[in-house]
Amino acid sequence: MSSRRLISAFLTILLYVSVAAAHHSAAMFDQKKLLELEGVVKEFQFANPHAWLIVTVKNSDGTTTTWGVEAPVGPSVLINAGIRKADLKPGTAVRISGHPMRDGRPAMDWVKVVRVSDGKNFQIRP
Amino acid sequence: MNWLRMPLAIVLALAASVAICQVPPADQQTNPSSNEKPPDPAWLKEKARLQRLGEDHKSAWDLYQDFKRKARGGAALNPAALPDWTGIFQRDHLPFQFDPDTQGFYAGTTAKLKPGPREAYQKRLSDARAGIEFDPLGGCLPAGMPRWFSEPFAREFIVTPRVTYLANELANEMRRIYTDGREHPAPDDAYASFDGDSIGFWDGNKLIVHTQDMMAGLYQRAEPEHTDNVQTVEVWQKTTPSTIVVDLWIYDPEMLEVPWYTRQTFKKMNDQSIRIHYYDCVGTPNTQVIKLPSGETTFKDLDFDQPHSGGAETQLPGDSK
Repeated sequence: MSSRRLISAFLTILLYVSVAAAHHSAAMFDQKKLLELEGVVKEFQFANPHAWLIVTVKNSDGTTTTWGVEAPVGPSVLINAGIRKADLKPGTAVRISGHPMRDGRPAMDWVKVVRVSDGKNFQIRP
Repeated sequence: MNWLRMPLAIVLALAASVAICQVPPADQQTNPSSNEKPPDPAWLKEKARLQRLGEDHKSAWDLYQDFKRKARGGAALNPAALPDWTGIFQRDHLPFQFDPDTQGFYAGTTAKLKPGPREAYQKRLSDARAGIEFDPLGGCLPAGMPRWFSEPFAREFIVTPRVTYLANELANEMRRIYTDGREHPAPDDAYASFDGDSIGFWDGNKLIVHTQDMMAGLYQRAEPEHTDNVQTVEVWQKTTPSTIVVDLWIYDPEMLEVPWYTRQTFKKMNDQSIRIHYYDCVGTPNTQVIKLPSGETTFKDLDFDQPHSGGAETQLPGDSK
C-alpha cells in the first residue's frame, strides 16, 4: 500500500469515528414528506456552512415549539438569491415548508419561507 | 509518475489524434448549463466531440501535452494586460451533480464506470435514495479535486503572471496553478493532497491545467468514487463578462472505462455586498452531524434556544452537551 493510500485510509477511518460538523448531506430529512407550518422568526443564524432560520410555532394545545429550518448553504449564496438577514428579522411572521427530520425532532430543510406580511417567497437557488 | 512510464505507443497515438485535438472557443458553443432543462442537442453533439478528444488520448498528461504543443508551449502573461477574472462567482448549476447535464440529484452519473466500481456505485446510490448516506464533508474536510468543481458557495479566481489562484469559499479551499514553466514535483518528492498539484500554461486567454497527486474520494455525494491515481486536464476561459467556462477531462483508469468529460460553468455573483470570509466549519451550533451505525446521517444535537453568537462552541468527540 502506497503512502498516499495509507493517508487516505487513515482519514477515512478518522471520519467514521468522529463527531462531524460541516457542509453535510441532507439525508437526515425525509424527502418523501413535506411539512408546512406558520410561526414567528426567533433568530436567523446567518453563518456558514448552513444558515438556520429559527421559528417559534404555536401548537394547537397552546404550547409552542421552536423549529429549525436549515438552508443548504451559507450567507454568500443566500444573498445572491436575494435573501438577507434583515428580510427575516426576529418577530417576522412566516410560513415555512420543508422536509422534516426522519427522527421527529423539530427541524426541516428549507424548501420555502414565505413572509406573511407581503407574501414574499424566499426560495434558495444555490 | 505515470506519464514517465508511458510507452512510445502512446506518443504515436498522440500524433494520430492531432487532427481533432482542438477545443473551439466556448463562446461559440451552446452553454450547457441550462439547469434542469434537457441539454441542447447542438451542445450534446459538441460534448460528444470533446468526449472523443479525451478518449483519443491515453492519459491526462498526453492530452495536456497535446494542448501545449498546439499552443507552441504557451505564452507568458503580460503583467500589464492580465485576463480580467475579477469578481465573485458561483457554479452555474445546482450543486451535487458533477455533470451539469445530469437531471436530478439521485439520477445517476454520466461517468462510464468499470464493472466493479459500477456495482459499488449502484449500491451506494441505492442506499442514498433510501436515506442511507454520509458525506465525508460532514467531517469538515475540503471537497478536494475533482469534487471542488461541483460544490456550491462563492468562488474567486485570481490571475497573476506566474500563478493563478482558484478559490472556493467552502472549507477555504485554494488551488494554485503554477504557470511559470515549472514541472510537477519529481516522483520522490510528490505526495497526495486534497487538491493535488497543478501546473498550467496560457494559450491566449485560455488557461490549460494539468493536475495530479490528488487523494482518493467522491466526485459528489450521489456520484462515484475516484482513486488517488486520478488526473485531470482543464481548459479555462472567460466567455462573457460574467461567465467562466471550464472544459474538464478526468482520467482514472482503475475506475473509468473511458475518460470523463464535463463542462463546468461559473457565473458572476453581482451583489456587491457578498464577501468571502473565513469559512467556519461549525459556524452555527446546530450543524454537528454524526453517522449512525445504520449508515444514515443525523444531527448530533439541536438546540434552537441557544442564541447564535457567530461561532459554535468547540466540542470534541466524546464530550456531552
